[in-house]
Amino acid sequence: MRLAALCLVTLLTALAACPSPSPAPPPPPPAPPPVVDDGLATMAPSTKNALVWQRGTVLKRGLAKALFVPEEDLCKELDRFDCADTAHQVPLGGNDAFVKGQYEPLKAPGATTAIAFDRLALSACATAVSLESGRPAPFLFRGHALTDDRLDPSSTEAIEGARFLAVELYKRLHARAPRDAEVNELLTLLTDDEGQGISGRDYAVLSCFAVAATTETLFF
Amino acid sequence: MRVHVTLALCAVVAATVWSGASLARPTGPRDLCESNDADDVRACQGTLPSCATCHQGPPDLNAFGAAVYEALLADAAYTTDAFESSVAAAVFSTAVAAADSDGDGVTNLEELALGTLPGDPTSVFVAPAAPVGDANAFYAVGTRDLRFAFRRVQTTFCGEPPDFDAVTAFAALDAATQQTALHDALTTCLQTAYWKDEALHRLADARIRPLESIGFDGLIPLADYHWDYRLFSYIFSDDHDLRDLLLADYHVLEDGSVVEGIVPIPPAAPLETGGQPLPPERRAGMVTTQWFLMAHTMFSALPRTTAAQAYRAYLGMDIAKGEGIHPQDGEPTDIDNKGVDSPDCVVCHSTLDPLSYAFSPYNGIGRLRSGGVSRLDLTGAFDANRVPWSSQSRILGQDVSDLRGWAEAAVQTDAFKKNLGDMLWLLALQRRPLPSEAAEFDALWRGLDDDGFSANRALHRLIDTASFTTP
Repeated sequence: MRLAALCLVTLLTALAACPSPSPAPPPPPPAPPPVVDDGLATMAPSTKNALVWQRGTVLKRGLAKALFVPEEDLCKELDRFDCADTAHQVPLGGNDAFVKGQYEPLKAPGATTAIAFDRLALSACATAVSLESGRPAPFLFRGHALTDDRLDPSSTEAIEGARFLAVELYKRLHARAPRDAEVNELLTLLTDDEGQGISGRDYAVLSCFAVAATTETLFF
Repeated sequence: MRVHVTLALCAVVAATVWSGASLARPTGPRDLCESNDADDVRACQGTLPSCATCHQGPPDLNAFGAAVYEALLADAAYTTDAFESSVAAAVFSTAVAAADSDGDGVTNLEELALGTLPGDPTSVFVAPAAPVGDANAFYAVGTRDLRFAFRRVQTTFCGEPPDFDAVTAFAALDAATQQTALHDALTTCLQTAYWKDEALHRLADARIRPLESIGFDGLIPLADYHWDYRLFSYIFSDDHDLRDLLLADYHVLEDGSVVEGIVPIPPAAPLETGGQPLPPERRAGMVTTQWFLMAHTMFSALPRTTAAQAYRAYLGMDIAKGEGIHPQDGEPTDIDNKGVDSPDCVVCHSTLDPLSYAFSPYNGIGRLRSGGVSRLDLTGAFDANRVPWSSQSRILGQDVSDLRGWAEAAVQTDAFKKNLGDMLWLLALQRRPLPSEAAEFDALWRGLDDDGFSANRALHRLIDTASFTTP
């Protein structure tokens, strides 16, 4: 899912670049070093293989609460069909007994669960950032000015802002502080594929999505 | 629909008989469980082994069933008449018990004890290995972790993960205080609207089987299933008695208060139906609501589908899947001349028909004797003269004189209690218990008597199990 976030950064950057072609593209920046959490490699994993799935209704409530978004403002397909309760109800683990006659939900996530989950999480993050933009003082996305068109990824201010936001997001979405490797991975989102900084708003959305759309949200 | 169900049941077993009566013996599960050697057979503990134990789909035997059959034939004196007295010895013979018929690496005897299917290689359980590695920074894997349990309690029973401050405050407590806080959190959650109106309603869906189009929200309102949801949630809440799922002689109003006596048709009802037409002495909890009788009995003289759904929903045995087959001698008598006494149909109907007789004095849609939809005001009502035969029933070998007796016998069975345990386990962990969790699961449902059949008390025990608290 983080890969998806990085792909989205690339896509957004590419689209943004289309209207104003530059005569000579700059040389590609060196690839960032891979972010490795050495501790995870040797950490004893659970062997029970019996986690509980956080299904649509609870998932929706959790995202809404964590991101200060009213539940009714979360994802709606065609602006009408609630993603968790209607449009993507089944892949997100719900069931509609009354209309569809589906009396039991899926026992385990299906092939489209991850897609529906990403859709809900990305929408929640985008809505949360939009709502924050309209507030006199943001509740959550306080690391950077959301109106900043292009963050400077090398500036101490941008990096510290990103660290601050990482901690806030992990606390809100996972009720814990992030590990250093997780913070460092989020910092890579400050820079697009051409080595340029992205906007404060895009960084807020993408870092939120990267933290929200993990299996840690989906299973407990 | 009733005819379809009957035909489907017949079809399931038809080929069994045609392919050789010696290969399909509906008394097999009961005969096996009555053996002294069957104490450790998981499927005999409160229930009966399903047909899938020996059949890959009746009539075909699976590898285990074939091994049992071979063991029977190994005795030169064996005849099919001796099946009932011989099957257990064949199952527990060394040739069968020590073999691994499905080749999944676990012997037949071990599979019977674990509750997996010895003839199905996809049904296998291997206990998880102990966690290996450095200390896990997130969870106390492989041992009780009350922080993990706290998150599970909040998310599962309150419908909302705990926030950072709550988790931090919980983590700061000493172990004894954490234990108290965990149960306090559960107590709070079990009072929430999420628990009573969402989580419990989803558990009820498969038992009530609503359908909006013919409910009171639909175009053809034949009965109101909201009564069913309210009653179900009420019984599962606030230390009420879970046996009322089959014994309640009351209903629950929208404000949560109990109402006794006949509930009249609502004044604004678009059709002459609604309310709860049964007098309290004719009620049997969830299986005599107007919705249940309307939706399952419909126009049947002998409400087989109604009985099958009651057996499935509240005793946990689905006859259509070959579960809970407990043939009664002399049954079926084919009381309604549907041909169910043919050898094709006897396998299931020798259990199902005697379960069904007690439901026959209760109307489905309208009044049966009219020969069509008329007198909708009688939907779900009791009519002692509805059909010309006795309502004498048998459930799991016990004679009962009416549906109230059926329900009173049912709640005494281990099957009923085990099914309650299954429902509570499903609520807490979204799955059935693993073989490695069998001891905790058995303690859960066997302890319901001591809980006064309170779901809340049972859940307080459940969240203390290693199954719930160990990541």
